[in-house]
Amino acid sequence: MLKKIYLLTICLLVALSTLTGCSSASKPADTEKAKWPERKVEIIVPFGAGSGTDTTARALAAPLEKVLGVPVVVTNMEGGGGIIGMEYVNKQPADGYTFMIHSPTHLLLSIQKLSEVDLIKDFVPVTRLVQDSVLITASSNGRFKTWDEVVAWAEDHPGDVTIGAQAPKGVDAITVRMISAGAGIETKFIPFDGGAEVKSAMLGGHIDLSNDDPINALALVQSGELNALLVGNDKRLPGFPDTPCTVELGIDVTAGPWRGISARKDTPEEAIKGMEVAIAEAMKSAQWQDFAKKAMLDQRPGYANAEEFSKIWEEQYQFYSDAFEKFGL
Amino acid sequence: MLELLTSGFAVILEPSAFIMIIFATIVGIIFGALPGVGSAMAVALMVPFTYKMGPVVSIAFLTAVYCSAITGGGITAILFKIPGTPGNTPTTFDGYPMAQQGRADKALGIALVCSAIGGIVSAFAMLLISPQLSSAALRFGPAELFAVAFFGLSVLSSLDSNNVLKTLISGLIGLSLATVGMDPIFGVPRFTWGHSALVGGIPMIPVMIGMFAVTEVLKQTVNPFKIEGEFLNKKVSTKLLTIKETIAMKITILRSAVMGTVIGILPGAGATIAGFLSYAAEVKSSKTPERFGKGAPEGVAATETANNAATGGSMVPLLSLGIPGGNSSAIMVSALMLQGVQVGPMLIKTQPVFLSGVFASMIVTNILMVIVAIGIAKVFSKILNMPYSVLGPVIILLSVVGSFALQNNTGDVRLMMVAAILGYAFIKLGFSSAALVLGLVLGDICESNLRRAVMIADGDILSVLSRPITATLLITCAILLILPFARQLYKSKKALS
Amino acid sequence: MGSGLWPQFLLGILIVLIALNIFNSIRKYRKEENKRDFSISFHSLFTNKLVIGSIIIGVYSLILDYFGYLLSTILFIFLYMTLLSEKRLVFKIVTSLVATLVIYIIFARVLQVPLPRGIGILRDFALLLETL
Repeated sequence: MLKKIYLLTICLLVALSTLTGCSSASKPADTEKAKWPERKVEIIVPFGAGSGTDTTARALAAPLEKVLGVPVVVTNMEGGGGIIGMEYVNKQPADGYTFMIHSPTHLLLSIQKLSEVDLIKDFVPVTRLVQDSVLITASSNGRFKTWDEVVAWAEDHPGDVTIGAQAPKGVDAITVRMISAGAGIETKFIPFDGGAEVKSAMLGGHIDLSNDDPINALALVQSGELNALLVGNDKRLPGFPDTPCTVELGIDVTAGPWRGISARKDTPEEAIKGMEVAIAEAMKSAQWQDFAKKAMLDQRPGYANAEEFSKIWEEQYQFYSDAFEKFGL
Repeated sequence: MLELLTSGFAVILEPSAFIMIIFATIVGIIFGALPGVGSAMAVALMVPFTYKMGPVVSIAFLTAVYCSAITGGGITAILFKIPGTPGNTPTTFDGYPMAQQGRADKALGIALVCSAIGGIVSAFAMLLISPQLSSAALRFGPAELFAVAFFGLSVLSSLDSNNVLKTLISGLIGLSLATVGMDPIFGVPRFTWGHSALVGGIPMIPVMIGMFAVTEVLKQTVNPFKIEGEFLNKKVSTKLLTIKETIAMKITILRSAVMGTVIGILPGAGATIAGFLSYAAEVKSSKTPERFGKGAPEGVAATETANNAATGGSMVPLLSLGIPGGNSSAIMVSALMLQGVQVGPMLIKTQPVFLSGVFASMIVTNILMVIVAIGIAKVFSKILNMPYSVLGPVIILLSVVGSFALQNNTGDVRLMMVAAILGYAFIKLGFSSAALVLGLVLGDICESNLRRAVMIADGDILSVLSRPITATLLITCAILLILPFARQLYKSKKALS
Repeated sequence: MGSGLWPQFLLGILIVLIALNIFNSIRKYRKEENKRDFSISFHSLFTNKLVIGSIIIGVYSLILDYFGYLLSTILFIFLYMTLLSEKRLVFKIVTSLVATLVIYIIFARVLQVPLPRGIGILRDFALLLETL
């Protein structure tokens, strides 16, 4: 019995190696480089289907496919707040066929040292695609109609105003804390499990303020259920012309969730460069422009090439590290 | 009003749209029946098909996929003890024993008809009283959600009436396992022992699949199960419920439909919790709770009615406020966004055809579903006719691939295998896997909402617990928790003397 | 409420209940007329087929990453069928190949699930198969 099992295993292995051995052995190394991409390119989304990162990756994949001439496959690997997907990409060979779309969340993971894999140390930036903003909203049935009212109330009642956001140490959470600190007020920060829960809690009057992406708040602001109080940016957003921005109120916080593509550190230069150029080309397509407009991701300039993106990583790593230190997180 | 009813049907019954709805129903049921492929994954996979449709047909199409996926999950839950989606887990408690007793057709019939009734009831609720329902749901803040989750935990005392103590222990182990991972309030890792794989916590689906499906295979590996009668050779014919039988279960079905709809609306809840809570309510209110877990048709009816009703419920906050209650509806929002449609209160006011279209799609799907599912169940039941030496490994294989597909991660496969072996030990030692899974499902909701509520109330726990909805729910479940204990104590005293 | 309070609360109750359970079992054990031998009931928990079955599925889940879905699944089904006392060799080989392939087509091709490819030549082979 055991003999037969061994025999079968060996037969299979031999069959497999003859099938694949010749194809990989006959490839000279230098022509392989010149021909990138010669097979499908994968983009790993370390978050769930339907998330902002996922939508962005899928919107990019279609025009990118046309530019590259090979299929671009988007795969979700959710879990561990972005860790599982990042570790998976790090385990794949650095051959220029596996990329990751990520957000500042992965910088935060690296600051908190939650994984052995470190975005800064193990990955290289390719392109930043979009820059979203933090929008602070309040229910129209609630206590506050404008940011000035919040500040006026909070100055007399420190810690009384409750503000909700997703995840205790996420990008949103850090940003709303920074905004409160920048405005010189003390608010009570309440973390929730998801964006939908924050919004329900606020509409139900259980918390005062919440933070949101412009696109997710738009419908409720238009229908008058929500008031958009403040946006974290140096200019007002075209889509919310009546909402003041942080910088005009003297609050120097413009951070917000962005999404960008990166690859493993030892990925061949040809692949990184090729991807960078292809993405730039794909982002010019009408298809991408249309998506950016519909998802309100055209409100702030988001594109950054590899070099600029690398600087963004450094700056933001510093910004978030300082924030963690400041709030004792 | 009449126009609200008919305008949606006019869109859905257009031949090209109707064909897509049939397609959605078939695909939804098959995907739902595959373990690990939940409704969210089914909906996500179908999004590319909507690129060429109009926005109303798109959301109607995705709704059809969503509804039928939950139904499809019931088929594998009954036939193989593999919950196709987490919402079908309680279906395994009574559906699988029914199948083992040679009543698989009956169980499937109940599951399908009750799913359809649940779906249709919630569709009407959504169409007629959406604004009222959503404003009622908004009153459920963290304090109230904690009470709802805690109410679900009161089932623990009745899951296995033979040994309440061991069931409670199992439930507490589940609750403790749910604390592994990121702390929901302070964001510090707990019980991860430095492993990054544990930061995300212990996902419930691999544990469910392992403890139910694979444990069952291990059990049959050790002691091959001899089926009484000629179940293996008999074709599963999915006898539909007769009107008489449906009327006999009318209270079960009605209560579960209402509970499912309401729970589906609550933020952060959904089909899984609806299924569990409704099963619990059924056991609690039954005059003969000892029949449950051994093939009580009401158990299947309660779960399947409620988890489908929750699909209609979850469309309420989505359509009336634009707030997605779960992953499936989040994907619908982004699919509509790609078409330039913003889901929210304005949409329903200015274009009521969206509400009407979703309603029509739910009605049509829930009826079509019964017919399609019978066909699919027949194909699946053919698999049952295979010799166990093939069926056993195939069930494990489906469980492995299903656990993997959840997050595309082999770590989940290893977790599933550990759960399977633990599940076997649980059976041998008289502990309850169902209770453990329940604890795991509800643990995080329970803890995070309680702590959140206490945080909002500045640490004043009493003011949290004395909120009217919270207090009512907590008192009810305290009574429910103590009753069987007292009963057992009374019985054992009697037996001793 | 701190992050430790809830787990401590749960573990506290758990310890009390487990203590109660042990107390119950001892009481029951004392009452039993024919005292059971604990080593036997412990042994029944680990009958041979169970251990082998657990090892097979355990090893299967561990080699998935390295051998890839295809090879490890074929081996797994073959071995598990043997454990379930299937004697026909050809039937076993055919079943393991067919089942592996059918699930591969459903999940990897239709559902786009990136099943583990394995490493080395197995990875190349899996990639080759994906381009077909």
